[in-house]
Amino acid sequence: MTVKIYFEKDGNLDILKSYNIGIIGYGNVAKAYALNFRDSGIEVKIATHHEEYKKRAERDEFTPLSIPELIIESDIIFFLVADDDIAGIYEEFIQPNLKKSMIFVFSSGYPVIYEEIHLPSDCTAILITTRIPGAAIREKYLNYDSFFSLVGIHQDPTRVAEDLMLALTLAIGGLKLPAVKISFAQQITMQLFAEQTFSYVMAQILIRSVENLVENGYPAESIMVEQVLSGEGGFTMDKAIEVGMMKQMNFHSHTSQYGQMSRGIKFRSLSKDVEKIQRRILQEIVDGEFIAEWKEEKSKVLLQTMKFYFEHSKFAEIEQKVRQNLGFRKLQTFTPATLPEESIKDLYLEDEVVKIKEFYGGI
Amino acid sequence: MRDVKIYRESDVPDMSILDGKIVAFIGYGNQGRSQALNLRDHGVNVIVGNISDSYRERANLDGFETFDIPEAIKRADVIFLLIPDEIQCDVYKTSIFPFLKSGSALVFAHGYNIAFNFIIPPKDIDLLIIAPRMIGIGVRECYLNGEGYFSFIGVGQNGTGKAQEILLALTKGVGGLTKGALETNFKEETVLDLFTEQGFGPASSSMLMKPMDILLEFGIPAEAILIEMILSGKMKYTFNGIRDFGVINGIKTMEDRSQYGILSRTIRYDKIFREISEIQKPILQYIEDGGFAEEWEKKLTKLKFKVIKFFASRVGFGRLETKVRKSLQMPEVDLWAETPYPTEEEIIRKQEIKQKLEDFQKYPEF
Repeated sequence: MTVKIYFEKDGNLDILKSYNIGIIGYGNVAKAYALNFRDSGIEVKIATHHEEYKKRAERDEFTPLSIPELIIESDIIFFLVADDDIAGIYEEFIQPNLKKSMIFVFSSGYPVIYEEIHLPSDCTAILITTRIPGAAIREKYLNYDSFFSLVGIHQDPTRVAEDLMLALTLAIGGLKLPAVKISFAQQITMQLFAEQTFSYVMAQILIRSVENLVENGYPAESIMVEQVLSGEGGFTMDKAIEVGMMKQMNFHSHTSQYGQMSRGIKFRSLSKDVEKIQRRILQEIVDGEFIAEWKEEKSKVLLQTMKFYFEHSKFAEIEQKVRQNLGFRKLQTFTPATLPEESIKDLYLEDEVVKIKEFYGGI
Repeated sequence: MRDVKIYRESDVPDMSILDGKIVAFIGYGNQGRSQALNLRDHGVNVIVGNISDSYRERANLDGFETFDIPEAIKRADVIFLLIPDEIQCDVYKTSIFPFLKSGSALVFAHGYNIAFNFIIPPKDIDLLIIAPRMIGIGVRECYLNGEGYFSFIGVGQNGTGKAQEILLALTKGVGGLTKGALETNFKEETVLDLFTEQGFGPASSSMLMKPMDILLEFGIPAEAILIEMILSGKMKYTFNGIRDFGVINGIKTMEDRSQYGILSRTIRYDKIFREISEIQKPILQYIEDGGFAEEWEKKLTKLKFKVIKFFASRVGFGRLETKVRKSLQMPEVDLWAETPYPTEEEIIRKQEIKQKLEDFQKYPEF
């Protein structure tokens, strides 16, 4: 199987001149795209159902329209709202106003693959995803830098999708670094799998390492500075991107390289069990079991419960104290989770809650 | 839980204890250069001791008086030892110790050689550690833009009776008090450093390599996998999210479905996490005992290191990565090419972009 890779020379902004482009949503990614489009000399219109985002768009000197208005005025629609809101918005505002041969751009394969929406067969469906936060998309653009993208085509009745996909990727600041073509199904599978097996598994290892060291008499502040707050992890990843994961090892001292590589072997005994867990996670995503599970009523209750115990864990207390002592300012006040006691009773979730409490509350 | 003393600007009103003292930087890599420039900006008399090479030329271009190491030691009252740990012992023996004046201060940026007694300075010397938790270039940049950086600082030996005052004045001078300097000692700094490398790092990578294989087997192109996992920088943004918002709140910057997927699936690793803790305990113990340092000093270990490294880059992931980077036409980067120092203009521009991006930070919660 050969993989299709696109480069800057493959994109042509001129072809966008004959299209009206609209963006639904004004979250971080949508905002970054909208501003980058504007700076690339391409006019876009915005629509959002979110009151606060409307104000945000106005501050950025856009005139937000209603979603039906936007649909009527646009040929290409970037559909950039949270996955969970897509079905509702599509049904209520888009479907009734749909024109013939519209072109939709998604940032995730989710709505199409898990059948949240059914696009008519005369519509085109394009996928453009950068996998990084909106702020980073904008920052790269302002720095004359770029980002990698994953792109794909699901429906292409008029054979315009590929050229448009590339022109649009270029306009939002991508394609100066390569874009790789994948299918909608591959994209969403990989996205869900990566989030469930990657970053927060590492966060849990961090939590345990901190606890281990605190127990052995090391100050929590020093441990957290060493392991996360210094920002060294981010620097290592920058270098991994620049020269490669293997080669970036050379930036560490020999003592460090030997320590990392030789001790890696000691954790090898876990790999069979880890693999088993990871394979099951993938299977559940592919079978649709995970998404079905998420749609069950009890999952929202369990999520609240997990967040509640996570926020009330021993580690949460340590972390709060550490950040305060180190003078970190609060960038944002997050809504604290409350324990949904009644729903737990109503849905007979007591047994599961015991497990959650033990896992998240215990740490 | 043990408390830690954190020093800030207000704890050190002035640096007069350094009046009339000459500070020598031995080594002029990025760390040495940044600290030397910051200290000079504070009005301290700084010289550089280095063998004749491109680093010394750079020091000359920056307007420092440069000397061979023995000569610099003879002139200095304070010595920053900013050369790699591995050559420190030899340089110390041949070019530093014989010329060391009584009552001078010796400053290390890593605890390793002192913590495990590879270097034992005379009793009448102040022995200090100032360990910025920031890459060399960042030490200068974060000083110029006023952000500061964290450091670990401590006194290992108080030869003059004034070691603590000197330590704090020097820390202020290199820009280490703006954000905060955490009090530590040589041993603790070393153990935390080594444990992060040996206990935390490998435990994480043992979880992170397999998912790539699984996705590859599932039929997703290697290029796409590497973009998703590494090249997009997503991991970096996750790290930075955790740094900026905390582990607990960082997760709230994601969609509910992601939060549910993560929190519900992570519970399945319960047994694994317990085992990780069990594997980590002896690793920590071994570092603390000095077992690791002893192992690393052996000739056979150096050989083993070369073998492991050779295979790591040529099998499995290393090979895949090389292939993918080629097909993405990513240029081969010269590892040791010098990273250009940011100009003042670039630093200002960076600040402006940061201001522009503040708005994004206000809305991280889904």
